[in-house]
Amino acid sequence: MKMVIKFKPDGISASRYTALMGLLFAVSAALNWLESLFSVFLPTGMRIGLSNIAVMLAILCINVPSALLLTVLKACFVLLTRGVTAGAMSLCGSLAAFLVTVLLFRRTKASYVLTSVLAALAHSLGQLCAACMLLKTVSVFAYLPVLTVSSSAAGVLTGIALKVIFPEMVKTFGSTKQIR
Amino acid sequence: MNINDDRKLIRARDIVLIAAVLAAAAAVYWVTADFSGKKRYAVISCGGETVAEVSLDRFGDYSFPETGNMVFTVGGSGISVSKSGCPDKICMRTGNISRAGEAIICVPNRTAVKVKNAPGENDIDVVLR
Repeated sequence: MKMVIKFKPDGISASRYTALMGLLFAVSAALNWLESLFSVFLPTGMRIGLSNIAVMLAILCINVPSALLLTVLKACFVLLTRGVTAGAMSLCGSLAAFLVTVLLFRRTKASYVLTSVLAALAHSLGQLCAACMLLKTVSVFAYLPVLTVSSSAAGVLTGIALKVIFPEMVKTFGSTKQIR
Repeated sequence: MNINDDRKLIRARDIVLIAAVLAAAAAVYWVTADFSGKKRYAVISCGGETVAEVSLDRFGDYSFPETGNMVFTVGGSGISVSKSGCPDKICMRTGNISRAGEAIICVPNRTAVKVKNAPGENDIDVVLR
């Protein structure tokens, strides 16, 4: 049996889909860069997870395969701009955040803030696991308490941003009827 | 049509849940951090292998062949990475660590610095492996 993964939902034209995906990827790349400016002022390399907004929006207003595509593209962007280690850490973090977001947005009616806080926490945990494997030491988890606080703060911000942006996205691009 | 009209921004129980997570983080920090006045030393490891153990009483700069161009500085406020060739300089921005359980991580250099309590009255200055 042949498995076909469909990226483009039916309710949207090909050009609209291309525009939307390009826009979301550009947003995630730009936020990724903005994030690296912020992390200069924060100790211990905390990533505030702003670029998760693009992936979460893709889960909400396009579909799951497109969101996964964005996640991988984002990791490739990090790989090209910040190197292999940063790329691997970004991929692990983003994939964990992606899984949590898909589960909460698709299977439950969890609020925006709760979803993005848990996604940000998963992002931190994923990054720590990647660092743990790269360094072969568990002492990386000493960062966990600090990262929990910063992720929660970032998650609250991301959640509020989603609540504001999502209805506008639906107005501009139309509902793709992919969401329950 | 707003397809997710019924999704709320935040609910009361979410605040409780997030507060619980933050409380757990604070508890973990409180349990793992050690405020006792015992003698401490830093374990510097690279790729999982211990490179050196440095007493936090021995002030000065240290560098090791395994950790390349990284320079570790022990001073009054603990140990820090004062020089590193890695791109992000996250290890340097972490600053000084001095309490047992605290750590500095440099992923590009595969290097970790972890502070530990000296076992008993064992007075270590520097142990090179």
